[in-house]
Amino acid sequence: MMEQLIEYSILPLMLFGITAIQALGLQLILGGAGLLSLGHAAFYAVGGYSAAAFTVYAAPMLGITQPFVMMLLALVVGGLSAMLAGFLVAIPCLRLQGDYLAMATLGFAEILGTALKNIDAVGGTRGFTGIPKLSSLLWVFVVLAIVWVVLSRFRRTGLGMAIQATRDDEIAARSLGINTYNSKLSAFVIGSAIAGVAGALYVHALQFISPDEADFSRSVIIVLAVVIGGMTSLFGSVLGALILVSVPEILRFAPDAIREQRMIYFALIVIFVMLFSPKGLQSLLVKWLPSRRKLSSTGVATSGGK
Amino acid sequence: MIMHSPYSRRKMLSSVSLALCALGLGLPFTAVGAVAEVKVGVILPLTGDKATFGQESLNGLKLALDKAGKDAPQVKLQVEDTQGTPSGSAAAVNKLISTDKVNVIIGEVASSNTIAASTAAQSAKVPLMTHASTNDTITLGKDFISRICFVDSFQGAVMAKFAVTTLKAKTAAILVDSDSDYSRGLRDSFKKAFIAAGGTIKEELIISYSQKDRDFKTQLIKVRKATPDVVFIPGYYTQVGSILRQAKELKLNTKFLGTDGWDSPDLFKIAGPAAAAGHYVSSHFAADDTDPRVQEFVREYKSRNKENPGAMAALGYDAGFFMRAAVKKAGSNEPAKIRDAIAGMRNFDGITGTITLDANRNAVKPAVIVQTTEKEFKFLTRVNP
Amino acid sequence: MFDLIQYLVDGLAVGSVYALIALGYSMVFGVLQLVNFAHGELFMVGAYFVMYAISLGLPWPMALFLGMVFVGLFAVIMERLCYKPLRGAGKLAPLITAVGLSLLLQNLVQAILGPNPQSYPVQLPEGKISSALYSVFGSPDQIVLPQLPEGLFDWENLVIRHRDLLIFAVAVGVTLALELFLRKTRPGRGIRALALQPNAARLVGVPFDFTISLTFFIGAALAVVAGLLQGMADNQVTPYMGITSGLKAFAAAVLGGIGVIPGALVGGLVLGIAERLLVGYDLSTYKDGAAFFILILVLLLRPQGLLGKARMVKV
Repeated sequence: MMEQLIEYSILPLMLFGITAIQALGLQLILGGAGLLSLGHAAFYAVGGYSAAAFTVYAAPMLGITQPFVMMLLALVVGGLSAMLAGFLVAIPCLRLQGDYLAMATLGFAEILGTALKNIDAVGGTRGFTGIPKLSSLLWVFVVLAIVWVVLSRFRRTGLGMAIQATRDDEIAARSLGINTYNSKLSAFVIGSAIAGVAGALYVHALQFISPDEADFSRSVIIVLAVVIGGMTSLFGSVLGALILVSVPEILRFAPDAIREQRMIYFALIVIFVMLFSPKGLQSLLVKWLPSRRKLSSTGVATSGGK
Repeated sequence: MIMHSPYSRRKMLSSVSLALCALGLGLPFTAVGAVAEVKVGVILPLTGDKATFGQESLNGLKLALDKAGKDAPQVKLQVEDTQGTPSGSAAAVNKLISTDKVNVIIGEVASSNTIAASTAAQSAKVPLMTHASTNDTITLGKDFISRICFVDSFQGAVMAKFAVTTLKAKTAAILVDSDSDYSRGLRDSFKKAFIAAGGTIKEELIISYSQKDRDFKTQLIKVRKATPDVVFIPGYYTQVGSILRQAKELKLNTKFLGTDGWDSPDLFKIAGPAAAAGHYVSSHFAADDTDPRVQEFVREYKSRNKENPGAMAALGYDAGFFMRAAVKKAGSNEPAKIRDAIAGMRNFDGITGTITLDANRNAVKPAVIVQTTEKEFKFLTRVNP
Repeated sequence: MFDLIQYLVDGLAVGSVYALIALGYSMVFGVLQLVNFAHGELFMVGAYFVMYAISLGLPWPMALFLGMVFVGLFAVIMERLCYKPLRGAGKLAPLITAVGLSLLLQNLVQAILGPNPQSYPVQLPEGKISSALYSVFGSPDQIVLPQLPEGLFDWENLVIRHRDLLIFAVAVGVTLALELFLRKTRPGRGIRALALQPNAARLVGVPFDFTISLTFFIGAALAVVAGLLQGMADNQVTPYMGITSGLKAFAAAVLGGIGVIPGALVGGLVLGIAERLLVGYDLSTYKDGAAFFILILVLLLRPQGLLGKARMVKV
């Protein structure tokens, strides 16, 4: 029984870890810098594609065969390429504000998706196949832990605090001599790089990626994870990812009538969380468990940088 | 951690009851060399724009397994929906391998989806046998991947030869679904064979469309201006239905040639009776074939599913019997042994023809050409390889 | 040359459907500054409703009218239940709720009516309810289905379908009527006042909740018109048809100037033409990116859209 449960859980657990890493990246952009990005999945896809192209095409040429080294380098390639893409998108987009910024990121994500569909070397619309299996549950959780630790340290650095100050009040931050453009740019670029690392883990687990991964609907899932959990803390994002991945999985075990309609229940949960706890589930948890108050003390809930 | 999976509860019960039987009767409960149970994973497009393919395949497969009765090997199906997309197929096959630990996998229908699934199956060394994916590259260099249908280099050539010799066509246009490996492969094989047989295809009359498209007017007008003798559309019924319908609206009266991706009752619904009639399609099977075994299958399928079986139903049915035969021959439910048994299968007598797997684990078998009427496909001729 | 004219004309018909959906995005954004991501799904629900009503034997004007009322009221209820409680909760919460609603509608329709494409005439699932309905309306085999006009204009190499002209005419007519309604009638002026200065509008007595409901109702009703046209043109509806069309219509709304009514029409048409040009010059695989490429150019060079007036950003 237990054994089967664990076997059943390996794949969902990996997906949870990968979603959590993506959510942590977006948390820095959305909760940290107050920038609504509706195109986060595009950076994930860019990272995934580049990492896969590295292991399929570049690694054999460079004579790298050791799986550990290959995966490590794939993570670096995924992260750096997504970082570059994030930089290129951020430079024009960050001139815009609020909803217009959100639309521009959505637009860029769709354009990146279309570009991927037209690169025949990586399979076009039909997807990139033949990727070796390098990633594992261990890899995913080690990376998740590293990203978490780095991000929580980062908040206390000068740049980290400048990002939060920019979010809370851009004009005040500027009057204090903070280069708000730079702090937004760095949040966006670092967040994108983290998405790219998640993408590298994903392609080497599933051994496949298609331009669908850059879809708007995938970006929405990550935004949902960050917002449902509570976008002001790292814990909230991971909690959101856990809910997003586990609710449909748990509903698999439910009676047929419920199981087949699991996406309906999932959508209802999203709506109810927003209606009754617009600051995310984490704020409910904080209310119920006073001893865990520390978790939320790192950020003040704000909405959209107003 | 007190979640009970219905699956594991059932399995526990059955193994307990088997153990009780064995104790009570003092007999071994499996004969030497026979396999008690084999877990077969199935990946099919049960929803989405190729859903009739998935539904028909599953109906055919279940009919075959029920007909085989309770003899060993018992086949336990674990069915996953791929939504008809490559990413859905990759996810489904990963789940079947890592979570359900299946011994062998049947599916998908669309070639791009099977290709997406095949990497994971190959690297986990779980045999994947597709009943309906015809693109040539699927089995290349992947010794755990096999198929019981013909390949597109054969199918494309069949239609090209039919166009030149029977329809006396000299010029052709091709509409290609650029999102599908299937369509691209058929474009190449048809073009090669058509030109080899003496026809011509202008480069600008090889026009692409996407599976997301709904308005094909721009493509059709190009064809209309050039007035080729035939238009070859290697595509799937959802888009082909719309294309035929819009061609009719544009009074484009060329003959259309299709492939097994057309073989769905929904083709007639989407195109409408007038636009659907009068085209030629290559496929695996025709429901009005007079072969008594085909007729028996059609009767049984109809009484269960209230509709005539298409090619996918017939291939699903053959896949069921073929799989049981392979497991029986392997005498084990070990994936590697099942792979060897599948690869070594010769002269398997199916309702879609006699199936022999060649060195690349591709079936060598005949194709049929059917003609569309206002509401169904009519058998025209059979073409042997 | 003929090719170019051909693609321009074809683009008008494709763009008209985008425009009809874009009007709803534009109106709601104008009033509430909310991107109603569930709007594409209203278009989808409308297309289904009308297709089923017609398949049951209702004449199409009746089916369209019922669909507009039903989906319009549905949108009003949706706003009251899901968006109204979130006014003042920031921008993100209503946006996420909208995404949740969009997921919910897609999956509800999929659960009730099946995940696969449906065509005229729709066969109802077997059961008591449908046999009762058939006994009232007659079985689907006997129903004469409405068709869009089938004729063609065919000059030289230029081919224009009558139905394309009809769709274009409907889009232009609806946009004009809506603009007239917003300028000449009291509730229409209420909507414009609310879009311009919400607080001042309240002070001079514009009924706030009613006006917002009216905005949602009109937007949804127009999406049903788009749903009918698209459904009849393609003879196909799917639970997912709202996603792509919705996103593109949204891009069209921003392109024309979100909140500007004629802007939605212009944006939709520009987008339709751009797509047809790409398909015409055999770049159809780039088609889906075109909408967003134009969108970004507009955002960067002229953020208020083609027809919008520059507005000060409220701090």
